[in-house]
Amino acid sequence: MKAKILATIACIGLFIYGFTGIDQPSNPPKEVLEHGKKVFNYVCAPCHGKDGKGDGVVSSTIFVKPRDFTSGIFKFRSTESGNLPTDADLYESISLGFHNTAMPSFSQLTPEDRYALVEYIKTFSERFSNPKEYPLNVVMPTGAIPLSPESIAKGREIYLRMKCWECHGVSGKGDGPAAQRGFKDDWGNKILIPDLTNPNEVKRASTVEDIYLVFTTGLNGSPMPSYKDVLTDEERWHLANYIYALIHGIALYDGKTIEELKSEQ
Amino acid sequence: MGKVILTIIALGHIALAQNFISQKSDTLFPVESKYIYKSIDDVKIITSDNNLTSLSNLWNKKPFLLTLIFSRCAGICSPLISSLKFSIEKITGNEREKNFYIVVLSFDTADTPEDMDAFKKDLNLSERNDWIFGIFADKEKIKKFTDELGFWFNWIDSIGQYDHPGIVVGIRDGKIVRILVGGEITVVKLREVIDEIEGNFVPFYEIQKNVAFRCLNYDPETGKIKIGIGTLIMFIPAFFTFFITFTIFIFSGKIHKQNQKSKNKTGDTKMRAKFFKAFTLLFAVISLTNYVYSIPLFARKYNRSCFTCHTTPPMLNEFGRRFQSNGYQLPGTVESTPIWMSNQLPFAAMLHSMFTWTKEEMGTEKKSTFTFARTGADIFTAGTLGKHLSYFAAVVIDPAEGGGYEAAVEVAHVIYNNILPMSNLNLKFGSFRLDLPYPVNLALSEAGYLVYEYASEVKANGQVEAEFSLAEPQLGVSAYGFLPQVLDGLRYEIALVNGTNVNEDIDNTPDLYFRVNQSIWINNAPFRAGILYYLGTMKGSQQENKFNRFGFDAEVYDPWTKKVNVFFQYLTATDKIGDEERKMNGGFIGANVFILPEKVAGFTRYDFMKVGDEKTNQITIGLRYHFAPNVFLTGEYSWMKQDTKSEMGMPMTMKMQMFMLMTHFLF
Repeated sequence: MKAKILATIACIGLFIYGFTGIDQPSNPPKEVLEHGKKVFNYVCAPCHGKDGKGDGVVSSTIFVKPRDFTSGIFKFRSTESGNLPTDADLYESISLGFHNTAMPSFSQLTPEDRYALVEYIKTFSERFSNPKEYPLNVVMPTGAIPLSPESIAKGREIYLRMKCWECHGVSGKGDGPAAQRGFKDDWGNKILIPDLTNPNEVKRASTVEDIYLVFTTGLNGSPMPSYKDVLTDEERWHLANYIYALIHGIALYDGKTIEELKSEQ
Repeated sequence: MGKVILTIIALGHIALAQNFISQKSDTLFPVESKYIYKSIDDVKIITSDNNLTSLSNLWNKKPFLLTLIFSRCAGICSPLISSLKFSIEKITGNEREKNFYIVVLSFDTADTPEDMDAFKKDLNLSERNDWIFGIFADKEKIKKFTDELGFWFNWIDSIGQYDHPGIVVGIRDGKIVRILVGGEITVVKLREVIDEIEGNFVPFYEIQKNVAFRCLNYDPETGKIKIGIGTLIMFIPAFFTFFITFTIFIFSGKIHKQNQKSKNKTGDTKMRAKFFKAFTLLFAVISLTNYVYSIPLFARKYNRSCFTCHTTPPMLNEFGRRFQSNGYQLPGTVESTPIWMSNQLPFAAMLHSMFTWTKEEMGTEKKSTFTFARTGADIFTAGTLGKHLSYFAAVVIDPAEGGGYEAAVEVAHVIYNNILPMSNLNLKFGSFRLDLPYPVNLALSEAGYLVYEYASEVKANGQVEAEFSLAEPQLGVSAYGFLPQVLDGLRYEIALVNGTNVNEDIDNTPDLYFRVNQSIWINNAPFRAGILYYLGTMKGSQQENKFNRFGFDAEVYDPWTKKVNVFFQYLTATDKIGDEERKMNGGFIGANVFILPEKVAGFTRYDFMKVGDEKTNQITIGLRYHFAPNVFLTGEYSWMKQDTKSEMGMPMTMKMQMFMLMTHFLF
């Protein structure tokens, strides 16, 4: 009983403190890792496999394959291209899941369970324990530009100029000429370019910040590059606003907002 | 002769189409096949450190990857080089000495060696001698050179930029080995190209059109060749052609004639007719009864596809099994929001219709029928009633004889879930299906499991008063759970039920059901083995039947691809009515093949059963195709043979073949 109380306090303490993992490798207590392993084997292993390679038995019957944690490559992060994700990134992925995949939202797992999972998942790749990988270069989504017809229109210009349409299509439906050639991710799995006009097809785009981060960090392991070095911050916010408007039906693919259309009629 | 001409035209068309594809002109990107093994001009270049050299000087020392950029590029150039750098480091581990160069040339006549030096510095490659940045020494030769690679560039005044594709070309001994296109160069593709420029033979190229199936796949990481889905798919048309041809031959080759039956039949012939009808009815009930349970309302609730929990509905995958064991909640979670406070409607429905062709043979009597069954529907409702409390119910609506429809509540129960955490212990009350090793409502095949359908019964005045079979829902209470902490998972159920197939309980003796199943994973592929035991008593008004079932089961997934699942069940039954004892033993062995994820699955099964002198064998094989996760078509062929004896003691053989086409629509 006493051990359980201590373990719970340790979990909660590390839950508060341990949500960094930015400056150095974390060193969680053994109890946390054991707890994480127990939850992982029960909840996650059917898809991700007990060894985290993404080859659980469910992986053979789903199209979008589960993540292979052993490579240390994660698509959705708040860190620069090539960097590891932060603990908060992993926690968010577990909590929100991903649209258009078999990964549901596990927000109903207790925070202790999710935190323990984060620490256990990190044990699958040596990158997380390698001091050379740290400190992580975290991208802070500051300087957000409010959603407006002008910003959406600018975003559309950038979308065309940066040739996003080559993959994502002129109308954003994922039918660009490059997309038809077929893309694969770093694990050799086929990737479908999502239809940006369908919110259920875009894996993570609940907020404009989510989309801004994708443009800034790139999606490691996929053909989606980071545009941090080629677009200014302001341009990336405009582009994020345009994509957000497209996904959530606020604007048409040509950048015209629904409000503008109504006022024209 | 006509067939020969048609075949030649078909093959010729395919050949012409292939030729057309290979001669097709480039659109935005070079068509790789046009450029493979073509030589490139030996142009002179000025490197970023102002050295004049030629490409042949480079390829005579080492092969290289070549990419074309311009230093003022505000678009694809930087991300392309960054991803190239990242991918090369992933493959070679950032070694300084490689077996190849990376040559980055500017096609912009305005660029100078200093511009390229600055570009190289921006990318932190200044110290890297294996990365060679430069410009063309002779500007006049740029266009011709880039044309040789299928590379184009157009100046756009309005933005002050060149429009151009991103490409990386593998060059060995002055010849183009591979061309990669796109804004980001992934590790997988680059590894193949590096293999080739280093002189390793890569036997297969990725075909640059959408190819769903390949017969053989080359894995650049291991260098091994593996059989692909295409090899299996190749046999499917042959199989269906054979099957359709055989069916047509059997049906049309023998003209169906109504036997002129004499008005005065012999006793044996009358008995044969009765057996025949009973057998047909049994086969029809087994084959046509639809037990499919897969619940779109969970897909809606969690906003995920059906395939999160199903291999192909209704068959549950491992995650779905744990979901079910957790009281229809995500594993590891305990939900508390009741359905009336949720914004999701807790109902789902399934429409199903079927076409069947049946051929029955008994002795010299043969009969074929084509049937379009009227559309039936199943309504499901399930969800959370409170913390640790959930429910499940299913109503089946089927066409009634003589027209109209009839509805029946098939199962309805309340679950106290997670009494012990991690679904270690749950309690279920109401009508429910016993947790069998291979639940009949979760099977891909429409053909019933003979041994599960086998009925124990009591009669009164020659009429069946009550009966029990494992396949039918029962009324009672069940304690069941899943223990993930025992090796790779232990499933169990202990149930007390009335044992009369949810019909009126005719006695006050509860029956006992027990089942346990243990999983061990090898390379994440489950190997499962278990036993089940049922002990029952049925006290009718004239008979009392003490009966039991005992069985063991095993199931494996292939540990390599996990696409093949083989399962086995052996079951015995004993019925004691007075001094009379009847024994049944039998089982089944089958396989499911998940050919294309979320698209195509195949299944087959062999059932065998012996009751006294009566032997029944059944083979079924089928294919499922998904138009969408919730819309699918299933084709299935079943063959059944029963060796029995008439009341006169004469041996009799009955055969039945059935081909079914079923459509399912879930919403």
